[in-house]
Amino acid sequence: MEYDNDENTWRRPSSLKLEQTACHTTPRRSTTIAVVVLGLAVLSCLLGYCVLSESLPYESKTLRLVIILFRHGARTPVNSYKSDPFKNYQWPDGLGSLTNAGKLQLYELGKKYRNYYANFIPEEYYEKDVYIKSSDKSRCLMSAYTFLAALYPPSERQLWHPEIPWQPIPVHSLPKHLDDIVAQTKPCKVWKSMYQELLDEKNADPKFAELFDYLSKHTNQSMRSVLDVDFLYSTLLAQQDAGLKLPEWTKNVFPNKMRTPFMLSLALLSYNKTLQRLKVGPILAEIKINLQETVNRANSDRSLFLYSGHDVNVVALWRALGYEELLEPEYGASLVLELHEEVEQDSFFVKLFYRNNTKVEIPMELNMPFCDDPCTYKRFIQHIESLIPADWEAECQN
Amino acid sequence: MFLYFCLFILLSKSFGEERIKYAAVIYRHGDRTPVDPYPTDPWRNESLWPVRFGELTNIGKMQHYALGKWLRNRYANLLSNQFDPKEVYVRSTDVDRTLMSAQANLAGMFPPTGKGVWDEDLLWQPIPVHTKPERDDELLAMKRNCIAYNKEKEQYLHSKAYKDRLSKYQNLMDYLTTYTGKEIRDYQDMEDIYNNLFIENLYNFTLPNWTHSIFPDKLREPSCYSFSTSTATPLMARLMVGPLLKQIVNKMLDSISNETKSALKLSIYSGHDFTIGNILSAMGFYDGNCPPYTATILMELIYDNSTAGHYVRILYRNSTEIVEPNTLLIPYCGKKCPINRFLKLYDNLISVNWEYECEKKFTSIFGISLLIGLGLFFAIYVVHKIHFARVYKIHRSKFDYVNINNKTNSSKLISPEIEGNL
Repeated sequence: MEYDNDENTWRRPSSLKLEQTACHTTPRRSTTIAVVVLGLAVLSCLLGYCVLSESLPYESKTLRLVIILFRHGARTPVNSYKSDPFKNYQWPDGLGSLTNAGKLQLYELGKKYRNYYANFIPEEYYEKDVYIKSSDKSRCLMSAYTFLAALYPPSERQLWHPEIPWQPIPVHSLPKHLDDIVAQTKPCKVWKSMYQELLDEKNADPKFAELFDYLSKHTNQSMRSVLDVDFLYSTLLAQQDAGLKLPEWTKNVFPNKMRTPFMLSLALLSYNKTLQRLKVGPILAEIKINLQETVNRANSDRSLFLYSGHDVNVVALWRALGYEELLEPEYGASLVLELHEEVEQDSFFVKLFYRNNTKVEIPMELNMPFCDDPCTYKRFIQHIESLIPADWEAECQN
Repeated sequence: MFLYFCLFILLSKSFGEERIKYAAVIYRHGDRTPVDPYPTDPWRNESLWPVRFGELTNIGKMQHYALGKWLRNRYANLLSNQFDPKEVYVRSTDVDRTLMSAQANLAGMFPPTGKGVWDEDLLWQPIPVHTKPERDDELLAMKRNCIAYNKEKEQYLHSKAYKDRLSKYQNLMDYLTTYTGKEIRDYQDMEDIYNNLFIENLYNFTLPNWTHSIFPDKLREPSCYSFSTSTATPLMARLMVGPLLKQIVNKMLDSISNETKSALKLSIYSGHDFTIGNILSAMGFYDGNCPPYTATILMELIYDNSTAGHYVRILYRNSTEIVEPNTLLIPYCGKKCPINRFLKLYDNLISVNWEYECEKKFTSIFGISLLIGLGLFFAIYVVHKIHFARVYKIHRSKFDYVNINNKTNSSKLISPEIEGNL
C-alpha cells in the first residue's frame, strides 16, 4: 500500500510541473525526480527481494534430503468413447503419449526446481547425488528425461556434444507387473477385491445416478461407474487441451459436474488405511530407508530422489500422508518431501510441499494432519511405519 | 548405355528386390571407466578418472551418438522420418552406463525434426528406454537366477575338458594372483584384469612393470575365451540366450504375418560385452575377440521380391569405429538364411520356455518329492490303519464283552474290584 501512495504522490506533481516548461528551476526538479526514481528503484528492488527471496533460490542451511514425486506432462487421450466425434483423430505419436506441450511442462518444472534448490542441488549432475525412478509408461520415462534435461544441463566439462546442451542421465524403472514402487501396478489380490467392493459401493451412491444417466445417454455406452467418468473426464480434458471443440452435450457436465466423481475415482485406489498399506506401503518403505540413511549418515551423498509417476500415485501419497480432501493433480503436479536438520537441537524435521501444476512459482507448504508444525522426523517415521506392511506379498495374499 | 544397364541391374539387385522389414539391434555400451580395479592397482583412486567407476564417459556418449547416426542412416527406409513410438522399442539393462548409452544413441538416431521439435534451443527429444532390474532380467542382463542353468554350469566347470584347458593357464593365473593381490582362478577373473589393464592403457596410464610380460598378448586369449564359457553347452546356451533370440524371432514372425503398417520395425537392446559375447557364442559366431565398446549385432528380416521369401541376415560390427559391419555366415545356411531354415537351425535356442525350465523345474522336483512323501505317508497311514483296525477289532470285541457284562450285572462284577482297590 505504501508503495502505491508513493507512486501517486510522485506522479501528480510531476505531471503538473511538466506543464510549466522552460524554467530555470528545471534542473533542481529533475534532480528531485531522479532521486525519487532512484529511491523507488531501490525500494522496489528491496521489496522484490523480500517477496522473491522466499522462493528463489531457496536459502536453507538445514536442508539435507529432497524427495520429489511428480506426475507426467500433458498427454494425448488414453481411450475413446462410443459417440466420440474424434474417435479417428490422428493423434501425434498415438494414444496416451506425452505431447510437446507436456515435454515443455516438465522442462519448465525441472527449471523451477533447479532455481528453487540452486543452493542445495549441485549444478553438475553426479550419479551419486541423485537417483531417479519412473513408471515404465513411455510418457513417464519421457517426462523424467525432460525434467532432468532442465535440472542438469551439462556443465562445460560435461558437454559431450558441441551442439546439444543435454546429457544422458539414467532413469530406472520396473515393468508394470513388477512395479510396486512408482506406478504401483504390481498385482495384489487383497487390494483388488477391497477396491472393487469399495468401487461398487460408491457407484451405488444415488447422488451420481443422474450424471451416470446423462453420460450413458450421450456417450452411447454404459457409464455407471466413477471409473468410467474418470476415463471420460481425462479424455475430454486431453481433447480440449489439443484445441478440439468438444460436443455440445459436454457443456452441462464437463468439467464441473464430472470433477467430483473423477477425483473420487483417483482417490479410491488409496481410499482407506488398508488400501494405502497395499498401494503406497512399498514406496513409503523406500522413503523411510532414504530418510533413515540420511539421518544416520549412512548415505550422505545421495540427497535427491525423483519419482516420475501418474496422477493416482500423487493422490495415493497425498492420502497416505493424511489428507482426506479429494485432489486433482494437473500435469506435472508434484509433492515434495524435505528433510531438515536443526543442528543446535540435534533433531530432524520433515516438511511437505505441493505444486498442483508446473506453473506454480512457490510450492505450497502443507501441514501434515498427523503431525505438529514442525513435524519431527520421529513422528513422521512413526506415521509411515503404520502404513508399511512387514510382508507385502503375504498381506496381499498373492 | 551398357554401363547404365549394369548399374541399374546392380542397384535393383541391392535395393530394389530386397527390403528390410524388421531389425533387431544389440549393442554394447560405450567407453567407460574400470568397474572394480584390482587391489594393487596404482590407478585405483577414483578421483584420477573423469567419472565414477563403471560409468559412461563423454567419449562413450559420443561413440554412441555416432553409432545412432549410422543406424539411422542404415534404417532410413525402414523407419518414418520422425520418431514413431510404435515403430521402435528400446530396452536396456538396468545399469547406468547402458541406460545412458541408449539415450545418447537415440539422440543421434532421432534428432527432432518438424513437429518433433519441442524446444528450439535444444535439438534433442526424450525417447523412452525400458528396463528391468538385473536380478529379474533373463532377457538382456541374463542374470536372473536359474537352477537348471546353475546345475549345468556346475557340471561343465567340473568336466575334464574344461579343467584340462584351464590348466594350461595355471602359471599365468598364479602370476596374476601374486601381483594383483586377488585370487585369479578362472577365465572370468583373467578377463577382469585384462579389461582393467586395457582401459588404463587406453587412458595412457602407465601400467606396472609386472604387466609387460603378459599384457596384452598372453592375457588376451584366455580373457576373451571367457565370453564363450557362459554358453558352453547346448543347455547353457538355450537358457542364457534363448529368451532374447526367441523374442527377436517372434517379432520377425509378427512382421511376416502382420502386413499392417503399424507393426514394430526396430528393437534396440542396450547391453554389455557379456550380452554380445553370449549371443555370438551361443549362435556359433564367436571368433575369440573380446567385444569392443559399441560392438553391435544386427539381425535383419529381409523380404526378397524375386523369390517372394523371407530371410534372416546377421551382421556384426566388431569395432568401436564407425565401419561397415561384417555379414556373418550362418552355419549351414549362409549369409542370407531363409527364415524357416533359420528357425530349424536355432530351434535349440528358440524353443526355450525359460520360466518353466528354470522355475518349474524346481517346483516339479519339489512336487515329485512331495508326491513321493505323500505316497509314503499314505502307505504308512494305510498300514497303520489296517494294523490298528485289527488291534482295535480285537480290543473292541474284548471291550464289548466287558460292556455287555457291565450292562447286565455291572455292580456285582465291578464293585468287588473297586472295593479291593480301595
